[in-house]
Amino acid sequence: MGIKDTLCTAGLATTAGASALRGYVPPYDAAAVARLRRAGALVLGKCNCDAFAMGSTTEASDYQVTRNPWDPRCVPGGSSGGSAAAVAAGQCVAALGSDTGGSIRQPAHFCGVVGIKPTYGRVSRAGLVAYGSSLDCVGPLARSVEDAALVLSAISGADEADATSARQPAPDFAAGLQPVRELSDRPLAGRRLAVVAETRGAGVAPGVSGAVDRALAHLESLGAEVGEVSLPTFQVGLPAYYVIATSEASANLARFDGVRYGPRHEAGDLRAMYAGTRHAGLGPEVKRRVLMGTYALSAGYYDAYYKRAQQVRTLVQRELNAALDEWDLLLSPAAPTTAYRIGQVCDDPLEMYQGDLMTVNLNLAGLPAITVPCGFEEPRDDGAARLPVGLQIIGRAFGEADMIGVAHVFEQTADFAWGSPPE
Amino acid sequence: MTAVLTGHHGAALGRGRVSPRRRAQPCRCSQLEAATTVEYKDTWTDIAFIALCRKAYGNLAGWQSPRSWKAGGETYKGMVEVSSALMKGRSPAEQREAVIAGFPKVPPWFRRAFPYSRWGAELNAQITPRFFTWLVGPMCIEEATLSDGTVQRSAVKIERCRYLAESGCAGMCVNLCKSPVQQFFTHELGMPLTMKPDFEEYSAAVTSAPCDPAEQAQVAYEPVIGIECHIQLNTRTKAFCSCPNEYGAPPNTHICPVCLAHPGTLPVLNAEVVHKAALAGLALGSAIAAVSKFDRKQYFYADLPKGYQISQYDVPICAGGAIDVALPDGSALRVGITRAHLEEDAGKLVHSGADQLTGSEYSLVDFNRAGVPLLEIVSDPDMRSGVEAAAYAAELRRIMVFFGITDGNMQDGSIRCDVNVSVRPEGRQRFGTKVEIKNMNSFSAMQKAIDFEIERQVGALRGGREAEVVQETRLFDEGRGVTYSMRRKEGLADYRYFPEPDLLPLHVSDAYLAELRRNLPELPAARRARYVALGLPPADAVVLADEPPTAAYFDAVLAAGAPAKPAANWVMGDVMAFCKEERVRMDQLQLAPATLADLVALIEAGTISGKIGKQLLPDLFQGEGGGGVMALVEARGLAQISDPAAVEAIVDGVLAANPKQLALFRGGKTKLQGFFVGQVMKESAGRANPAMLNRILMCKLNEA
Ligand SMILES: [Zn+2]
Repeated sequence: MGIKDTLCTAGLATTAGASALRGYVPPYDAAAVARLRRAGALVLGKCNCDAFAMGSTTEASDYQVTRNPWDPRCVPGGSSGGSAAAVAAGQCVAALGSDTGGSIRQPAHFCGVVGIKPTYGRVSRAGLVAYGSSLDCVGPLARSVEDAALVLSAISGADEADATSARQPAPDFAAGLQPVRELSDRPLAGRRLAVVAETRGAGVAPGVSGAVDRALAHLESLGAEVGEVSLPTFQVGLPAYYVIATSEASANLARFDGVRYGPRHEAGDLRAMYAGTRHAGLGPEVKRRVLMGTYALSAGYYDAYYKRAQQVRTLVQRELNAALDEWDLLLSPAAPTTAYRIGQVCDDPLEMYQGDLMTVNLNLAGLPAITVPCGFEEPRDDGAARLPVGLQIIGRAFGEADMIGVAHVFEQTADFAWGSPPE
Repeated sequence: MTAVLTGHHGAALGRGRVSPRRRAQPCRCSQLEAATTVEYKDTWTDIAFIALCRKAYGNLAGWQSPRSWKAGGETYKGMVEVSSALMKGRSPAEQREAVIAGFPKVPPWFRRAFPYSRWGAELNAQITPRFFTWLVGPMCIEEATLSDGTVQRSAVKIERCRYLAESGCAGMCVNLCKSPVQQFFTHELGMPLTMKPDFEEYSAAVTSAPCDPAEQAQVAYEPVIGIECHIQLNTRTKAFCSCPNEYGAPPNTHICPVCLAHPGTLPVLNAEVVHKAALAGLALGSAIAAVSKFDRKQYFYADLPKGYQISQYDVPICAGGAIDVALPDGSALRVGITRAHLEEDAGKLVHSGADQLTGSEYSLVDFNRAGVPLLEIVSDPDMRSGVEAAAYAAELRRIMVFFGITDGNMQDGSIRCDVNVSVRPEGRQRFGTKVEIKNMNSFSAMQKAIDFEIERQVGALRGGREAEVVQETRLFDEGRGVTYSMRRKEGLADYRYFPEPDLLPLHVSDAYLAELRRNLPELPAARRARYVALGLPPADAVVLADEPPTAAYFDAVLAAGAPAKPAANWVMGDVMAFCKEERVRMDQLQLAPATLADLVALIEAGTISGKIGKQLLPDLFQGEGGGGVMALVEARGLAQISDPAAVEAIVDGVLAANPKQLALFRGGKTKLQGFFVGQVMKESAGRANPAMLNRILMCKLNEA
């Protein structure tokens, strides 16, 4: 298995993709890693990511550029881009990622693999280098829903080392999954699914829309009722997410000061030591987010930003839960576009932030979601490869089993969505 | 004039020597002679101002005059009447306060934006006649000579103050006009202003210039003191990790990835921390929040591993409460508790080559203390002197130690107090500029620091050096007995508090509190009261109920049947001295409380003398006497000789052996009685019953 570099591995360097942790070797395993090892998994290595998971392309890694196995000129998505690329390329059976605003689901979509962001609290955050503590989730990326379910089962459950981990017993998510030959004609009969209206149409690339439409039709053919639900707060989630995530990050990253571990910039006084160490250790995207968060929490701005963002968060949460009272599962594309070209959004953080539109609300609400490959966007120009598209299926809190079950049936029956990246 | 005053003056002004003729108008000011009547030609704007003022004073006084509101003269008289009603039942200070409360509030930026200037002072003089003619009558602008010799046109001469003339009352002039207006201009507007009324001529000089130092020196200042105490909780492990919480270990031996803030580590709240905090809340009489929360307080420092301190910002675990503090003079002071909240301690910096970070060659950090649980207890600003503050801190410490919440060792830093000191003119509600003092490692140092600081601030204000009192943190230099500036606070430091996402809200249930209440220890104050009720002097009760081992020991001696007074004397005397000498606590003594009670009983019964008791003590401290002190007494033959025949025999022997002294005694040298007592005691090895000895000896000496 591959492990995203935001997760600590005992005796194995863990950098979170950031210079600030160059050479840092943790003395402990993250809870999820320890559970995997206990379940017999072998850790093959660490997967590249955007520094401190802050990015959507893995280009913000302080170390290497990770390429998309479907088209090496494209990014694998992010921030768990290394994990998604490694799984897509067959370098490992599965990998662990972390998802603060879509960092598992979007790279799964870009790389044509399955990715699960579990319910907040389902998997312990202990040993996960924190980005946005109230949003961070550890989850699996794998080539099939069943593999992802197996990994999720292994890493789930209450953990004394994480006060926010849930006490709910963790079921075996792979246990109920039926092989395709045992499925009936209409295996999803009685399932009530709804597409989030705000994730359709304008702003979504035609190739993505087309693939999702086809997937919806396929779900209907499997017996599911597929309706549409409107979530008026959908658009306001993104700014609220960036305020909360960066606010928490500004505090979480304060510890990288060169005093106790990590590279230190030697200087004549403490202030200069801090400034030098953090200047060298934190890349431009990280600095941008730390500054945003510091600003949002500053006296006089707290109410206008952080407090307001928390109010929006409550609204988003309420609306999603109300929709899930009415429908079993919600559906959307995992991202508005397929994989970007390398360098395409680097200089335009706003465009990159827009890419998180489909995913961040589930982090705000703490709900589980899975990305399952649902088809391809045909090549945009000659010589380009076709790029995968992922369908996001959203479940109720701690309703991963349901979500995984539907994703599994879809995956096992949707031949059109299958494929492997070119060798 | 007199008609105006009759019936409107309160008893508060009737103090002092008043002649019988004056008693009908019990006001000091009525000594002023009646003025000749002057006609004022009030414009409609003047009448409007007078009416406004009359209405405002009436509202403050809670009474309105029945006079007409239309004519200027009548309205003015009504205004004077309500202002005299305003004085009723109020002390001069309260009168000034009431009037100031009616003045508009001036935002602090105003004083910064318009500091005192010659230009401002002159402008003030220009404006005053236009705005205040309705109140004080005609005015003219004059030149003022300042104390430094400069001359500016900032003086206003009130030719004949209408207010003073109409009221004829110096008290009203001073307390309702002069003082509040001076205070308003000086403190609110930052424009020092002096008014000098002339009670003979009813004239007044108003100078817009720094106050006359002589007058300023008379102002009485009231110190206001509030204390923030950081109490280290004596839990077995730290607040958010399982490292031992122990003082004195070699540097960086009680650390782990969590308290070093390694990446990915998370805090987990120690249940014992909640237990101790809730217990402390009950001891302080606080309301304990059913739900409180943790927040991150962010700042960078080398001893703060996470770059933020987990604390409680807006929803602390304990709110409100009070403790009763015994002051050294025997009186009691109730000090309110604002709040108490949980937080974690930081590590400790050890500097090389300097005693602070700046200027040191290098600094080392010991993280053993990082993550140790703290309860920060914030008092109300209820203390007025160093003595009161020290007594409060000592009582707070006692409560926390008796409740088993902290070790309470100030030298080890398990209790650290920050003191806020400000002073304000007596009678003023608004607080003065607050100065924080840190770095006091004993209560007596705290007292000295506060007293120094009060004197420094009052001295600065009286001397016209207000600029020396700024919001800052000062450290106490115990050697020199002074406070000195550590850093100025540029506004308030922005700690960017926000809710700690790694910890769930803290729930404390009623059932949990009920269980705690069932086993609540006795408060030191209750213990002292119990000892006093046993007939002990309050000073003894304070000594016995100061430290838990002493109090427990004393209680055990009482429980073993010893009477309170002698038991207290033994415990506070020989036992305490032994403990001090040997550096042991009373709970470590080999002398069991029951054995001491035994000893006391033998002395009280006359079986042995107190002197013999003291002789036995060293052995008892070594653990002897466990089988009963009486057995020891018998084994050593130390029982008191109370058989008259035996005592008489010894006395006879002594008299026979000292014929010379006997002759001298009988010859009138009665001082020799002591010699004979000593000889008998020596012969009996100290065992002779002293009372009996004296009686028999005196009989024998005086026989012939
Ligand atoms: Zn620790």
